[in-house]
This record gives sequence, C-alpha cells and structure tokens, in this order.
Amino acid sequence: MTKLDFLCLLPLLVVASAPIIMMLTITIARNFKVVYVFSLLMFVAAIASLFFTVPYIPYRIEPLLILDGFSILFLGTVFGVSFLITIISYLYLKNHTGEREEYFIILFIATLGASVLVMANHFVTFFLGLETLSISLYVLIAYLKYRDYSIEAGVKFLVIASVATAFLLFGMALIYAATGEMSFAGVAAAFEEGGLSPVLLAGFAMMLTGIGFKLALVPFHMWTPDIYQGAPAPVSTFIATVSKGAILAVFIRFFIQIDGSQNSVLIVLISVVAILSMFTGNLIALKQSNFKRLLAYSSIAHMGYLMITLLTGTVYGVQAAIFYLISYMVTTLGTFGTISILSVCERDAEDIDDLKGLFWKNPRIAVVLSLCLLSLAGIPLTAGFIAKFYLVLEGVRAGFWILAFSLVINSVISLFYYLRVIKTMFTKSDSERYFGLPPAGGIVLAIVLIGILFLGILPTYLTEFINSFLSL
Amino acid sequence: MVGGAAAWIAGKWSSILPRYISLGTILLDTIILLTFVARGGLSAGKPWIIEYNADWIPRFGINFHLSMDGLTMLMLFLTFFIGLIAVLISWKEMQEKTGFFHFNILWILAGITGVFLSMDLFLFYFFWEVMLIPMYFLIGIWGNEKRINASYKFFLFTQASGLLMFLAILGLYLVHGSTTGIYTFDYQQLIGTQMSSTMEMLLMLGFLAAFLVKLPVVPFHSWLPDTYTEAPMAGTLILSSVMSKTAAYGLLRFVIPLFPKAVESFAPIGMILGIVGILYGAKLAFAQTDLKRLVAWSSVNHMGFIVLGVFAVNELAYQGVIMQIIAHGVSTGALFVIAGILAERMKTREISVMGGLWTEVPMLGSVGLIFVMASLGLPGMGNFIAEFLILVGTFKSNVALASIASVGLIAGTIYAIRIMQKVFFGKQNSVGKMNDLSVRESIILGAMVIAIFILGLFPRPVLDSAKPAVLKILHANEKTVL
Repeated sequence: MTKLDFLCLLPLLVVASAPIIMMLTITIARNFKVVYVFSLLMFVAAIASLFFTVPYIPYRIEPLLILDGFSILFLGTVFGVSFLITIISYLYLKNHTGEREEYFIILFIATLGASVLVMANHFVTFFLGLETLSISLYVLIAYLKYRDYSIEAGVKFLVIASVATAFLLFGMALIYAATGEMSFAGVAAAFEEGGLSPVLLAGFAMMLTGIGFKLALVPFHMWTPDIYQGAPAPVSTFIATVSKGAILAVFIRFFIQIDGSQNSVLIVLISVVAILSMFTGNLIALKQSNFKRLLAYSSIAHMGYLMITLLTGTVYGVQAAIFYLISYMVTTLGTFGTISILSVCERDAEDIDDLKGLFWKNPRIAVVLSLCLLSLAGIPLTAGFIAKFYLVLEGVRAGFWILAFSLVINSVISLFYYLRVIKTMFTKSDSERYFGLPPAGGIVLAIVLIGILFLGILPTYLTEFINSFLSL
Repeated sequence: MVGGAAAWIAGKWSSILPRYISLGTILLDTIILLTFVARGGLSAGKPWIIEYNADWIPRFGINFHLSMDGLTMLMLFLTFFIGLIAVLISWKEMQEKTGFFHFNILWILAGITGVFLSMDLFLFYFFWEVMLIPMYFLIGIWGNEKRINASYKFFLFTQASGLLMFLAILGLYLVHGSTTGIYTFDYQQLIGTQMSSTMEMLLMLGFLAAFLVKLPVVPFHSWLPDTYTEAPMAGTLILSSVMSKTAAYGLLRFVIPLFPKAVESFAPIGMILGIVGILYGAKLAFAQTDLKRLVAWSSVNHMGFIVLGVFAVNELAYQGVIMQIIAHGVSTGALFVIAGILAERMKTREISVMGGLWTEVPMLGSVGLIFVMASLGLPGMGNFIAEFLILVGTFKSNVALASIASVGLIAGTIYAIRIMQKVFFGKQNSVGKMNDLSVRESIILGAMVIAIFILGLFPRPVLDSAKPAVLKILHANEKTVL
C-alpha cells in the first residue's frame, strides 16, 4: 500500500476510526455530550480530508475502490448530510433516558458503509458497503427499544433487507458465472462482447430486484412506510437521504459502466418500475394521515422520478441525477428534521394533525416546512423545481416522453397531499401544545431554508460545481 | 422593477403597518413605471421601451430577460391600478394576519408583473407559477365558507395546465436546439423555429392548455365560479381583473408569434370556443342567484370575446382584445367590489334577498348602474370600444361567426339588466338600515368610474401605445409565413 493509496483512503479512514475511538471513550466514561461533539468534529475532519484527495483524482485503488469526481461529490454530500443528521439526532435524543452514546457510533458505521458504496467499483465492495450500511440500520431503527413500533420496524427491515441482499448476491453470482468478472469494468466489457445472454439477464434482473428493495421502488416498496413510521425520526431521515443516496450512487455507476441505457430490455424493465413507483407512491400517499408514512410514499415516487436520469445514460443525465438527489436530500432533511424537532419523548410528531396550527404558534418552523413541501412538489423558487426541470429536460432530450409525461401528471397528484399538509399548518387549533425551536435546530432549518432557496434561485453554482467534478 | 421584488418581501416582516407598506410599494412601482415610460418614450422605431438581460442559468440558455413595450406597459398600469384597489378594498375587511395577507398580495402582483415582463420562456413559466402559491393561500386562508375546496380546485386546474405548457416549452426548446444547434429559451430567438406541422400543433396545444384554463374558456372553466365566489374580495379582484389577463397576454405574446401556422388551422375552433363562451357565460350568468357568481359568469362571457378576437388574427381584433383586457379589468373588478360591499353590509350574496336598494344607497346604486352598463357594452365606456373592435375584426375574417357573436351582446344585456332590476330596483325587502358608501369606498369606485369613462371616450392613447406591439406580433407572423 503506497502513501498515495493511504492519502486517498483518508476520508474512509477518518470515518472508520471515529467509532473505534468513541467505543474506547465510552468504556472509560459515558458522556452523551462529549460523544456528540466528537462526532461533529469527526465529520468536519472527514469533509476536510476530501480536500487533500482532490488533486489526485481520479485514483483507483485496484481492484476494489475508485476515487473520482463522482465519489468525491457523493462523499461530500453523505458527510454533510450526516453531520446535520447528527445535530438533529442530538436534539431528538437529548430528552431520552438510557444509553444513547452508542447511537452515534452506529451512525458512523452506517456512514462508513455509505461511503464505501459510493466509492465501490467492484461487486465485493458493493456488497460490503451495502451490508455495513444495512446492518447498522437494523440497530438504529430499533434503537428506542421501549417503543413497540421500533422493534417491529427493526425486525421487518431485517427480514426484508436480508431477502433483498439474497437477491442481490444471487444476481451477482449469476453475473459472475456468465462473465467470470466481478469488477464493474470487467462485467461491462464482457457485457459488450457477449450481449445479454439469458443467464446474464437473470443476473441483472436479480440485482435490480435487490436494488429495487433497497431503493423502495415499486413493486419492492412495501417495507418503506412501516420502517419510516417505526424508526426514530432522525433514523428515517438517514434512510431517506444518506442510505438511498449512496445506493443510488453505486447503481448509477454500475449502470453507466455497463451502458445499460443501450439495452432495450433493461430500459423497458426500468421504465415500468419507474412509472409504477411514481403512480403507486403518489396515489397511496393521498390517503395517508400519518406524516411519516406520507413522506415514505412520496419518497417512493421521488425514486421513481430519479430512474428517468438513469435511462438517459448520458453525462447530463448523471448531472441531473446528482442535482436532484442533493436537492431532495436537503428537502428531506427539512421535513424529517422538523418532525424530529417537534417530537417529544414518548412519541414522534408524526400525525399530520400534530402540525395543526403550527403556523400561528411557530411561524419559523412552519415557513421552512412549507417551503420543503413545496420543493418536494416542485414549485418555482425552490430547489425541487429546478431539479425537476433538469430531470424532465434530460428525459425529454433522450426521448422518454412517456416518462416525462407521467412525471408531470404525478407532480399534480402529489400537490394534493403536500397542500393538505400545508393547509393543516394554517388551520387554527385550540390545543395547548407548545412548539419550541432549539437554537441548534434553528441552525439546521436555516441551512435547509438557505439551501432550498439558493438552489432554487441560483442553481448555476451547483450545476457548474457538479460539472467540474464530473469532468475530472 | 427587479428590485421591487426584494422590497416586497420586506412587507412580510413588519406586520405592524403592512397596509401602508404594500400601498407604498405599489405606488412606488407605478412611479418607477412612469419614469421608464417618460424616459423611453413610445417611439415607433425602438422595439422595447426598456430591456434588461442577464444570464441566469447559462448552461441551459436561460436568461433573466425582462423587457417592456407598449402592450406590457398597459398591462402593468392595469396591474398596479387593480393592485392599489385591492389593497384599499381590504383595508377594513382584513383584521387579522394582515402581514401575511399583504405579503401574499404583493407576491401575486410580483408574479403577474414578472409574467408581463419576461422575454424568456423559462422565466415566463417561473413567474407563471410564482403567482399561484400566494393566491392559493389567499383563497385558502381568507376565503368564504367553501374556501378549501375552491383553493384546491383553483390550484390543481392551473397547476396541471401550467405543467402541460412547461412540457411544450421544453419541446420547443429542444426542437429549436436540434435544428439550429442553439439551445435557448429566449423568446426572440425562438420565434420562427422551423418544425413539422404536427409538432407545431402539439406544442401549441400545450401552451393553449395553460392559457385557456386560466382565462378561462368554456370547456375548462369549471374552477372559475367556485374560486371567484369563495375568494376574499381582494383575491377575486386580482383573479378576475389581472390574473386572467396574463393568459390573454400569453396568447397574444407567445402563442400567435410562436406557432403561426398552427394558430391558422386552429382559428375556427378557437373562434367557436370563444362564441360558446360568450353565449354560455351569458346564459349561466342569467341563471345565478348569487351575486358574486353572476359576475363570475359574466366574466366568462367577456373572456369569450377575448378568445374570439385572438383567433381572428388581425390588427383591429387585437386592438379590441387589448382594450377588452383593460376595460374588463376595470368594469368586472368594480362589479366584484360592489358585490363585495353589498355582501359586507347584508351578510348575504343572494340576489333574491336584495331588492329596492336604490332608495337606501343611492350612491352605490348609481355606481352599480354605470358598471352594469359598461359591462353590457354601452357606448361611451371602454367595453363598447373593445367589443366593437373585436366584432369588426372578426367580421373581416369570418362573417357568420361575427354575427353569432353579436347575438351574445344581447344576451349580455339581459343578465346585466337583471342585476339592476333585482338588486337596486323593484320591491323593497326589509333589510334594515344600510350605510351608503364610505369615503374610502367612494374613492375606490370613483377612480374606477373615471377610468372606465376615459377608456370609453378617449381610447386613443391606449390604442396608440398598443399599436407597435400589435404590429410586431403580426409582423413576426408574416415573416415566418413567407
């Protein structure tokens, strides 16, 4: 292992070392605050370490990992979002009793898994990262063990994720059997040479199933609402942003490498999945009275939208995907962050009715949340609008009119339920509930607010930024 | 004008005196507008009075391109005039949450102003959507009993149709890009894009979807009566007088020059739609028992004239359309104000309960008479000139349709007279004491009366300033036909 290898692995090493140090400190003395501050510092260090690696990209650590502009972008996003989630988690867990320090350790391990995923260039690292991520998520979901829902959700996720993993692994095995290759590049070469043999197709389909489970695409979406609802709100945030983002990143990398957008069978498969996800997600979301479940279904639809970029198979499509993901992450951070901040010890503020009268009691939270919801719906002035525009533009440019059209129809459907939530915030309520906003929470929401407006009004900076990294 | 948007946001945070702030900002905007006009002048040689162009998202060829010509200027005057009246009219009506209320009003006006000014299709769509959200809040929070349903209906109709237009804009962008290699959303460059006739038709239908819903034209009008009725007074005023005009403006500015051939083949259908609107609107207006609803339907009737004029595609008709936009803005706005004042005093909008009000409130009655007459197109008032010009224009391109449309005028007379008869004349119902117009209300309605008479008696300035713009629209047309 050369010195350069070492340098380029620095981000991963920082993230990997954090849990070890934390575990050691916990054995000496437990202090929730110390662990929290240390986590924040380590995330800052991880982000800083990215800057050292920039001059050397693209850099391959053969055969497993690759550090290129794409990975750096995603690593930065993953670390940044995890940083904010740490703050939200602290606010959320502050009032809980029991052992809370391990939460941050597991959060770090999950982040490590996500980081490996975005750098993966080989089936082995793909699988390794995914499992590191998933196994830590089981624990995080069931972390508040005195809540009934938590345990249920944890077990459910365990079962579903194991099935998904099995599919994925079987798919990889089939592809290996057909091509004799395990690295993305090798598979791509074999694929180009031999075309889509039945075994290879079965392998891809199996992998798609596994990934579909993880991304909660229809028809593999059943787990999402239960998990989102059962998990503590910050953990739901993590699943919706970091976890899905990282899995999508590796999927994009794989799909682009094998040039999947040239293959008509794969196009049809993914188009069907995408359209189904959009419609199912949005239509079921209409009926939800639980805010977390509503967001879960809306996330299914959003993943459906994102599939469009995958199909374009161009570098523009990838840019659109990254832009969409970043704006989606910021927005989701806002929605789930609000739930976390409003939650009390006994239960999460997860019913839409919990938001009743929010606008009159704490207009600051209400304004941010409204903006987030409007951004999810894709209304101008917000990040979501530009992101959707970018997506539709690339979709139409590549000739996927049907997909673009169903996105438009779905945007209208989704407005129904987003507006319903906003309306609830504006209705007056007589309840005596107090909606407080701690300063740290205020900072997170302010970042979200600025992020949404900035991306919505001046998107050029981010598109150029993404562009410069992708061209490295 | 660009800086105006920033000032408008400020209105939100100082909720103590938001009324004065919003009044002040609109006045300020009017002054800015006047200075622009004074400085630029209306010389025929220059295409734009003022123009502002900056890169916004250069990656996609999106510019922040605003410019103003005679047409835009007229629209802006109307917008600010109605904006002022909207603020004044809700002076007393709104007692709570005034800060947020005025924030919404100013944002709507900002969106509308943006729509009139933008010369970049992306920017145009952007502003088109910006005005929807605050309007949704306005209806949803301050509306009447069935406000929630009304606000949903309004939002979904307009949003869905807007998205179709958005797809059409993207389609146009890509078609233009693939033929010329320049990917841009700029209006002037997109004019004259070569495309196949089916493509042109499809894209035009996308644009039409948005504009016809917003106007609204008859098959797409079902959101209108509910929304107009349930919205608060200021909301209805802005909706009917200005917001629906953005669609008429869009038809003139975008649809006609961008898709000349498709418009030509669509024209008969468009004109028939217009006539259906005229007759259907008049018929249903006659059947209403709710005063606000009646005015709402009469608005459908007037919009029919606009559609008729747009698809007649000639200079006279366009002049008429522009005149109609302004005159209708003032007269229908005034009728809604009157309906609102009555509803405020009587706590009902039912026509059957009213009657014989003239003796109680002679001033309100006489103002009502003026605007009812204006609405049915009596000479001397703006609407007469407008409808006359439209009909003459239509007559040039299609005699039969023009004759049928003229029948619509008679139908209009019937429902308009009915308002007067049932509300102000006839048997007096015991309604108790009612106050006549207050000073504030007199100023509002007085200004509107003056405006409608000026439009009727001295239409020249309006027609003159609209003329270059109209010729430009038609000229762009000819250039591509050749």
